[in-house]
Amino acid sequence: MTDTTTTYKERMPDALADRCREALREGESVRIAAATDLTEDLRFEDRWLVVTDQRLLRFDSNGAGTGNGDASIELSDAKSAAVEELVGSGRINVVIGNEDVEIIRYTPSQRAKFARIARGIDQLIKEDPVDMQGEVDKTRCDRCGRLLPEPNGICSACTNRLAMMQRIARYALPFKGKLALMVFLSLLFTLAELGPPYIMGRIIDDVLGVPAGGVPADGVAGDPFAFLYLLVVAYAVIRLVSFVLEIFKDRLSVWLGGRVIVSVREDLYENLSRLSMKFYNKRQVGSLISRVSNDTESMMWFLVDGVPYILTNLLLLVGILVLLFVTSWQLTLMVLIPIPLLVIGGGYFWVRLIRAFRTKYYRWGKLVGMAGEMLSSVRVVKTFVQEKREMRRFRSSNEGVFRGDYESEKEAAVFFSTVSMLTSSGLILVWYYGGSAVIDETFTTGALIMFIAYLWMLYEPLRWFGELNTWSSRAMSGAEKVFEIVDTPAETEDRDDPVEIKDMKGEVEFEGVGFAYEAGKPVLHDISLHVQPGEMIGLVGKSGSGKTTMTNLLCRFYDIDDGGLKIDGVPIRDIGLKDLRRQIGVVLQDSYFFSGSIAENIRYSSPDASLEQIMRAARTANAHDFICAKPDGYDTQIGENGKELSGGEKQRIAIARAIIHDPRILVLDEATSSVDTHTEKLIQEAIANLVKGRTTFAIAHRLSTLRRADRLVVLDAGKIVETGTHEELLDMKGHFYRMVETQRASTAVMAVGGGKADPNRGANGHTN
Amino acid sequence: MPDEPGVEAPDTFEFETGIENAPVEPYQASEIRVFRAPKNTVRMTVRDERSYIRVRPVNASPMAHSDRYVSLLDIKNEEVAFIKDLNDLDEDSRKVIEEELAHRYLRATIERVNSIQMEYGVTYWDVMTDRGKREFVIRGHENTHWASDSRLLLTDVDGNRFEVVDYTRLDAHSIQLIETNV
Repeated sequence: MTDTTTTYKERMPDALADRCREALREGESVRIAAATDLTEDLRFEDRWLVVTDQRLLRFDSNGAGTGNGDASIELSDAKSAAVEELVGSGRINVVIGNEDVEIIRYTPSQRAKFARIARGIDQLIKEDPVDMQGEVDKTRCDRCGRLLPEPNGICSACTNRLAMMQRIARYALPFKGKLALMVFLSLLFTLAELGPPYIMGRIIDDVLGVPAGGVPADGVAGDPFAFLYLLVVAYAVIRLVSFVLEIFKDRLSVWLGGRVIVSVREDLYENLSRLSMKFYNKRQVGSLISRVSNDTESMMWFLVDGVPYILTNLLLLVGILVLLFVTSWQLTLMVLIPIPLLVIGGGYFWVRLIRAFRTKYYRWGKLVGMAGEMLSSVRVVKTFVQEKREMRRFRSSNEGVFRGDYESEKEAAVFFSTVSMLTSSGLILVWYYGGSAVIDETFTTGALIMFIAYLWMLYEPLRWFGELNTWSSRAMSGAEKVFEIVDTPAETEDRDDPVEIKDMKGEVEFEGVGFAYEAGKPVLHDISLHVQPGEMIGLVGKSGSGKTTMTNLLCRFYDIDDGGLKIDGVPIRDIGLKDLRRQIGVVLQDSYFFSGSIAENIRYSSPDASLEQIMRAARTANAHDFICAKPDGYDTQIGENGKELSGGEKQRIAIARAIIHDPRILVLDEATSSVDTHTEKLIQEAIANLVKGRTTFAIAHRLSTLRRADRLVVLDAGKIVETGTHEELLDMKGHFYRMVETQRASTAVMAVGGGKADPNRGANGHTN
Repeated sequence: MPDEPGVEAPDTFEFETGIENAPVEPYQASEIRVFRAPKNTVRMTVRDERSYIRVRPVNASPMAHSDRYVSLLDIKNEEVAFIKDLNDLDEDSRKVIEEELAHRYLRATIERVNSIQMEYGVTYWDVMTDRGKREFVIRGHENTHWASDSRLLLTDVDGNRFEVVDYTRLDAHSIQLIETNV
């Protein structure tokens, strides 16, 4: 009896464990031991809840003080236990007599855990078999112990830049050859870049510095002109070579960076379309769009410009340092003096810079989001004449962006001036000590000039390393965001060996199904319903009673939490998603259309359908006539959301789309949208044609649709309260009867008001 | 129940359902009395004539007006009474409602910010609140809400709520952290 589903024990601190053992009676055994983070007087401290097979006990974390179970409750006194979700906290109550007694408080961070525990306690009280199954979400990182940004999420701190770079690099692997070529070209380019200062030094020392008629140190037979000529030609050749190399190198990097991003974007897009509805519920579309566009773009610039830049400059840095040391190690050390300062000072301003940039990007995102929101709800804005307010909101947001921009550029300016000031201090040292050495004749003029030229080349990239850091951090945070989506598992995934159901019969069985969109807030409780193939079920209930949720579970947009859901006797989780969705069709209240022609939209689910098949479907859906009447017929372009179509037309096209899809199970989320009586009749006919022979779940508001249903299922607060035919339910005089009465009453009011009470309904009687 | 101060058993109960239908117009503060009977259940009587055996006080606008606009809901979540101002109630009723609200809404007031760390769009906070020390994580800026120029409301990834009543009155370290990070 001590397997993990029937007990739940967290590791207690030693003192408490001792204390707890003392408190136990003879033969009493611990079933649940769990820590909460909130005391009964609502302070953030640990409390322990210990549930034995006889009692409920509560301890504080060191076992001292309130000690011996300050809330000691005999299980035999209690009737039941349940969680109560409050705002910002929750608690477990047990019912003793006719009273709720709070036994433990917890913060929302512990919600999922205590929901399970409360179930366990309830089962212990009722002496039911105890089952506390279910994963408790992981809220802290295994490696660093940091709180995770989301339960079971990826610890941001433990994914570093290097890992991110490696990850990106993996995308470049298919282009190994080109990558190697680019590295090679960069190497050559670096060598070529190192040449000119050296030649400059030689010209000064060996040509210009030689007294007239004197013999250069190791010249060409003592002819300074010939030697000069040789050096100048060498200089020109080197410049030419590095010019050509740079062109090829840059082309390659643009190609490679672009290719990598194409693959990343592809992965991102693919996963976006695979992700579960749960994921989309939590996120704004705008921020997701920004991931596809902005974040991948910032990654791309980094790959195209940043990475090659780092590569060549790192090579250059190494080359220069070697040459400097060879020329004069004493001077080189002097040059390096400012570098620690550079690191510390740069680091300090760097943090501020990053912060400013973050704010800036956040504000940018907000501005873009706001503009997007305005554009997509432009009708609402205009209807309520709120253009001015929207403009005001935009203006203040725009102002915020400016301030963010200004702040970040200000920080950037400070950063770069600091860096250049520190670097020039190294240069001053070199002029002084190098100059002295030349006067002492321990160092040549040419060597000094060469040294300084290299120094400039050394500092130049150092100055820009700061900028590079902005790029890279921007790109890396972009990458992070992009990969977050790429890595998010599609919550409803296929089993490894899904059961194939090629031809579904359409038998559906809900067995005690429970479901919550958010842990602790159940939307469906104990739903049991057996639907025969071809049966039409009307789902009835107030909004929020769980109708749509039931159909969502059927489409497996979400996975059920409790109980079982079977189609043709196979648990829904075992059916391949592709098989499942191919045979389930949904006609939504709000039908979405893609930009394209009417024909393309109708055949969306079966791209191979011929125009004749499309027309047949459209005829069945009573859509053919009005489509033909349009100037472009089936080729009429409809924009996003079908703006060119009227409500009734959209519904019928959606029905035609479902007919072509030819699902075995149909979900009909019926629109309440008001159409004239003639159109209503056409739609009803279309629906009748559509549901023929298919298992149908209709979320219906129209009585006419409800009449057609074989059975009505009345939901209230997530529970099935009544089932039966239309007539049976009316006879029952229960929930359904009352709903119908209310509806009738309000229709009567409408009728008395001559239909003017509701402008939509008013249109019914008067148009056509 | 008889030992509750000043409470006499109201004589009209509708026990057949245990639930009364909500009135068309919610009762006003002057008409009602609220008390506990039994200990953990809030009961409401209207002019000592009708009784609602289990009501739940909720704040209509818990963020902007946490001290006003309290609605009493019955167990079907229908409003039975609406209290504009808690002071309109008698002393005992007000106390019960205040206790219940304090119970229902848990928002810790931040008194000191020990550290704020921003990483990858997620902010890690380490704070001292009126309820003790706490660490929490806030994702994105959406869950950081400035209720005024100085009042800050935070909701962490789990749904824990925090408030900075007036950040300008915190210590210099906290002010600096908030200014640079929020």
